[in-house]
Amino acid sequence: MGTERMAIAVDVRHVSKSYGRNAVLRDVCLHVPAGSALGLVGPNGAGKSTLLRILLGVARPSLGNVWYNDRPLWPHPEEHLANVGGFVDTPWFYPQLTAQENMWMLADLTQKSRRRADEVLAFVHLQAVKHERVSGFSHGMRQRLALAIALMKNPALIILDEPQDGLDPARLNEMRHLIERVRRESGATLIMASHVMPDIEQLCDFIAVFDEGRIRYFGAPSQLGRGIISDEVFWEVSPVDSAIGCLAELGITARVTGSSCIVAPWDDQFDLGDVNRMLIKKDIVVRTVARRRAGLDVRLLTYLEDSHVDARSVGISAANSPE
Amino acid sequence: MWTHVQWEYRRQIRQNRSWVSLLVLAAVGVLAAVGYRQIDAQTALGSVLGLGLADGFFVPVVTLTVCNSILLPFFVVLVSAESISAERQRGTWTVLLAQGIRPWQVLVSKWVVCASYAGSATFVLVSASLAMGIMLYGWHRTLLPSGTMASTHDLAGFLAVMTVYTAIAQVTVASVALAIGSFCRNPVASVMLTMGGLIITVLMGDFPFLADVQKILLSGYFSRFVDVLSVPPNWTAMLQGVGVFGVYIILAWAFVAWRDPFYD
Repeated sequence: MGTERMAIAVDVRHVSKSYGRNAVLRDVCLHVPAGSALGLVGPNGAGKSTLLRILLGVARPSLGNVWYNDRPLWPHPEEHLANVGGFVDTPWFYPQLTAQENMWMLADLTQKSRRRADEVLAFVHLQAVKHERVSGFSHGMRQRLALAIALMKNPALIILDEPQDGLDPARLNEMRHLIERVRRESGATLIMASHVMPDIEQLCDFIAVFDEGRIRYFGAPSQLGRGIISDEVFWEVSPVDSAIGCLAELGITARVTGSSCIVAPWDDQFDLGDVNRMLIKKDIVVRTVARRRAGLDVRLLTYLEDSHVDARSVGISAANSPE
Repeated sequence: MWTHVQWEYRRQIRQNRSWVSLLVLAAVGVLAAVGYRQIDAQTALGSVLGLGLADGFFVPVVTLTVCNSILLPFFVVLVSAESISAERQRGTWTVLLAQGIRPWQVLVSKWVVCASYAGSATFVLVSASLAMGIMLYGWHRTLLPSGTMASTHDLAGFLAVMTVYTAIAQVTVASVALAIGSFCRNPVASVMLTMGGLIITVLMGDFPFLADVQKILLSGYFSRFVDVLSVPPNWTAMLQGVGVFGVYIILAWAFVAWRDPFYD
């Protein structure tokens, strides 16, 4: 999908944004290295879309600025958006125009070739419906058209706001593959807000957890909630009571989840193999053992609940974004 | 810039609203000509416009006089005021800005298209009522109220001047509506705000104690085109009107430039 070009490094420096008295972003600092992928996660109204609007030159920051490759984006965003593609909010188009006309119009207005517009339409699998008016498009088709518009400039920075919003599982999968392919082939920097945590985990090198206009966490998705949330281990055993007693001797608190199933939090202080051997040695029948890592969504929720307790200290770690 | 204008035209042409509104204006022009026959023109419209019964040429003059304050601006405002606010509400405005397109390029292209619509609307209204007027009443050499005999050539010239004057007035309305609309996110609100303001200023013309205020109001100059029928034509009054329209257009643009409403 287009030739590789120098990706854009993004610096968000002390950006705040208020609408009237409503502070939406509060002193946000971020550094996104060129070529990396950042996922913005957090509850609705946390400020993710507002930050994306600022990055796309749609909303002006009240304080602070954004730097693309060490050049300030504001006050003249249009001068820096030649290699930036993306969309925010629910993407919408001119309903009286066809998909191709919408693309051609933007291609003409940004001095890109119409051929390129047709290429990206094919890339997002809208070739067959390109002559249909956008007013008749489904939500999924609109999302793909929005992605096509985002990619038309062969951008070095791609900014996507909930690209999987409202898609069915098949389309969700398709969208993930499209984004993955774009990143792989273009090497562009990606900044994406999403509520689809598996996609964030799969696509992004870093995540920034937003809450109440602040960044509560910045780092690798796998590290979110480390030390707060442990994995869980499930056993299918018999007899259950003996197994719980045996685990209790080791200081592991297990609970019954079914007629012959128990579950216990697991934080690597014991070797799971040793524990299983001990259970078997005590004549406990172990039929199944499974270790499950808490999903990003669970870790995110727990992390946010926890960070509310000590928001100030977590805020300090958020400022230490990777170089 | 021309690319922006071309696409703006294309979008405008694709909208049913544009064509429906022009058809309605054409129908109004025809109905005005037909209805003119039913009234006691001399009594209702005065000595100048009452001449319409004697000549089809006066039908568009009457139509313009009746329509230029509310009906014609209504359609112009409908198209212009929501031109930007509808884009903002729909989200296409965001798409344009995110492409690095300068807001002023969009605004200028919209202004060109809205101004074209204002001119077209005036032309359609005049053409329909003129065609119907000539069919019903003919077009002859006519004795003007001043006692001067006007040839058909003179009458055609007068009508052309009046049409251009009204078109300029409507372009001004479009400019003001576009400026107000650029501050609104709700198209209905922007139309209501602009039309509300226009109706209030027109009504203010009925209060003698507000005569001084009328001098600075846009609506106070809408009907100055009738001065072309004076002998000699009162060009000064008409030029004054055009000057006021120009000032309003400049003020509308300056206000938008000053407040810069394009980014959130």
